[in-house]
Amino acid sequence: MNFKHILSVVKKDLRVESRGKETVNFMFLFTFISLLMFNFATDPFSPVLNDVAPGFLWFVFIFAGMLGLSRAFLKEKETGTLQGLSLAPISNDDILYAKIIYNLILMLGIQIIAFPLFIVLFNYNIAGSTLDAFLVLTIGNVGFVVVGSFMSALVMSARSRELVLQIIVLPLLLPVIILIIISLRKVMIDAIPLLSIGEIKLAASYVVIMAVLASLLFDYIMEE
Amino acid sequence: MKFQRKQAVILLAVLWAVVLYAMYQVLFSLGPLSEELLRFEGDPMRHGYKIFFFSMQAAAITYIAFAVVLVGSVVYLRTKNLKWDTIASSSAKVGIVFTTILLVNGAIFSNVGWGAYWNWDPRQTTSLFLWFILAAYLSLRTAVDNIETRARLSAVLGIFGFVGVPLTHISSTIWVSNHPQLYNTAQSSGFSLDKSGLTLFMILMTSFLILYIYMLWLTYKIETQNQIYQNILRGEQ
Repeated sequence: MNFKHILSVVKKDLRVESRGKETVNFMFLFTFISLLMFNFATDPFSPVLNDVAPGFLWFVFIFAGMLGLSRAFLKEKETGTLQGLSLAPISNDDILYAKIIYNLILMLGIQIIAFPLFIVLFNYNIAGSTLDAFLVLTIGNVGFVVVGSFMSALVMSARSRELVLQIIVLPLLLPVIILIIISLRKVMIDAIPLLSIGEIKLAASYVVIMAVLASLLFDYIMEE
Repeated sequence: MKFQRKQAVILLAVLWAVVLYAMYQVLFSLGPLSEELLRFEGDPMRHGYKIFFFSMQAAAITYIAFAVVLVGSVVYLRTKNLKWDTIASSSAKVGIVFTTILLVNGAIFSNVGWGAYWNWDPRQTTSLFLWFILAAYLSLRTAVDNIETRARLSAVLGIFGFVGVPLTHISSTIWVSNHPQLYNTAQSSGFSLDKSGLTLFMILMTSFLILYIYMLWLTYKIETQNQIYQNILRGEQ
């Protein structure tokens, strides 16, 4: 693990993204549209909204993240830069870490924009601390990005990759998705402080296990 | 001596006879649940607990199928011998059948015990999670054309997917669950069987295990034949 190498790959990805801004724009627009869709689906003055809104918020990130994640390695494959990347004197693990960090930056950017948007659109009163709700979402997104980036590399050589990616990532993330929804509801409805929620610890440990497995197995994906 | 069709038919016939006998014993001879375990007067679990004899076995076989996928995947990545990949994929195919049996049995149990076929008990949810992992594993295999790439990628996913097994196993202890406990915990004492119940349990367990091994062997053989056939086709072009 070499931080300089990781940083240079992240920088490269960010520079490519800042030129085209395709992924960011799509992700942001998609987040906006799906928030609106969920908003149309419910009566804004109904008391039920209070219960379902945390789930909506989290699903918006899952779907928007799916859109961005599928690009992480596929972009390299399509433009043929993957070979260059694997020829560079960087260990495979560092490439994976760099992709995870890059994806995380994208997700956090979307989160910073979408979270206030959600509060405005749904006219939502968070019972607990807003920072806690934000942190729960961040932990969920870390898990999502770790599994998603790894699986994005896994499906590179498959047919109809974007489709297969969703089928593989969502089942593996099911525990994280469920646990994050439970903790979000606890923070946003029952006003329980972050550190006394058991589910969030469980989700975090699951993410750690996934991260360890991913770094152990990544060499096998890149060998070709 | 090679294991032939005739032996297979005899084996299956004996297996069926034993399973039918054990099922009859479980359903009609085995006594009801002991009084202190019943929750209220006229509790449907009085006889409903017998679903345990069918869902527990399916759960055990599901775990075994996952373990075989894990071992096959690890050995394939170590040795690059396609035989192990075929074993892993056959086990996944058979495993998804047993996971489906587990889910159906679990739903019936849930309806008897808790009043709804699906009530998102952690046990049910995590079992569904196992089913989805196997489905993802098998769909990844259909999406990759090259045999070596397919074996390599699905082996990685097979190792990843095994995470679900420990999670499912501990799900009813770490979450609030209505599922009967297999071990003594702080909240409740474990569920135990008397001697005749235990015998029937072991008979059914062994039959399920033999059925799993037989199905695995059969699937493995079909897969191998299929690969030979594919090789011939490719050779002709």
